[in-house]
Amino acid sequence: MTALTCEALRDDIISLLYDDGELAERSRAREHLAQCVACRIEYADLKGVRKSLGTWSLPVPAEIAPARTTPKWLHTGFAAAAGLALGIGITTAGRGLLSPVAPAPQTASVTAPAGTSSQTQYVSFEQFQEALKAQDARHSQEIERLRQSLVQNSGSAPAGPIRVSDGSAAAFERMLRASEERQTRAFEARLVGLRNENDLQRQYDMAQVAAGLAYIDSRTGADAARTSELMKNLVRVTAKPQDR
Amino acid sequence: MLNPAQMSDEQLVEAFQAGHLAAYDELVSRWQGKIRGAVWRVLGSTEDAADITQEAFLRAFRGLKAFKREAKFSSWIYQIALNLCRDALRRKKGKSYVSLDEPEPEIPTLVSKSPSPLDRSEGSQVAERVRQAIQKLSEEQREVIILKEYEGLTFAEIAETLGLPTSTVKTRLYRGLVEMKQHLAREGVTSAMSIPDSNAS
Repeated sequence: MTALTCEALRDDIISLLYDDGELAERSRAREHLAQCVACRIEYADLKGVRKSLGTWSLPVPAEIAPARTTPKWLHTGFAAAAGLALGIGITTAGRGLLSPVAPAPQTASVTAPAGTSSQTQYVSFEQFQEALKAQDARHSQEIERLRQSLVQNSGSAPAGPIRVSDGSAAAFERMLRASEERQTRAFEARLVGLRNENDLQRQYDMAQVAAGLAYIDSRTGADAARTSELMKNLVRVTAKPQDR
Repeated sequence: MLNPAQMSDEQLVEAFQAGHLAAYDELVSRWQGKIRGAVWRVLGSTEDAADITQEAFLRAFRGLKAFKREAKFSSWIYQIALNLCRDALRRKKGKSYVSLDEPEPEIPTLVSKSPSPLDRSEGSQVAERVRQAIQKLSEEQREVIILKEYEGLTFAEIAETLGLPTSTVKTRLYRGLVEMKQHLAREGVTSAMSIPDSNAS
């Protein structure tokens, strides 16, 4: 392959390198590369340069928090709902221990009898209710046993229903406080972002206003000059002949 | 006027020329990131990039009424920004944004695999070398490489932006890449790319 041909096909090789330009150019380049080792090596080198170029990325601009897509009350609502759910969870979990009458369980599962397949079994509503009652009774017995063992260990029976311990309430309080702090931090970060955004917008608006004012100034100046010129002409035309 | 976000650049320019100033806001938000990136790469300075980008859009705002819609808005705004870059570089001629006397750390060879933290650190060193090498290119080559490699413009769009024939764009690109290869090789940066077989793609 002559150097002249290689030189002449350089543009086509660039088209192939960037997959841009006419299809015919790229086809010519492919055909040439298939025959010319020197150009194949150069093509690989140029691809390598392109790969290196790809490592240079723009610096990350000062991060501006994305626009809030959910209203603030929703976040607060979630936190409150989570707190409430947690509270209910604690209370519900505790009720079995607190009250001699076991409450209806939140969820129930029907366990397959031993020796049967572990696949999901479909049962009638009555069977399900019975299974629930049986499980309820089993849990009540377990709770009762636990209570008795607690009484024996402490040496005295509890006077009444046990309250949720102060420790749990404090932990719940702490969690709520942490959640509130997180919300506050997120809100402040958003505020900073908004402030930056506003500053940029303000600078841009000021520049636009300045450009507009400059334009108006130039127009006003030209108008004033023209008016003055007209007035002078008017005065000259209307002046008495002896005054001219 | 339609929702500006759903309009093409051409429609936005038309709307602006018909007196809908809001159309310009959409053009600005659509293009300022790209323009700022291109300016930053040409100048190698983030502060100047912000100023020049702002100035470019200000000039575009002033000139958009008289803008003939034969050219694309994107080509036109790139053109304005690149002209401002050239002015800025001329003003700062003699001042280099890059210290050429920096101590030379060991430069690794790029290899193709998923990046580990070490690779990322090495990648950033390569990126720095690339940045320096680009700054060493002539203005003409640098502009073409930036518009093609980083802005993703087609040869035709670059030709329109720079007011050059497509063949000149390709020649500048080729020469720029060859120079980049030499600069990078001197800095010890080589990218391992396999030589294509006879069925090059």
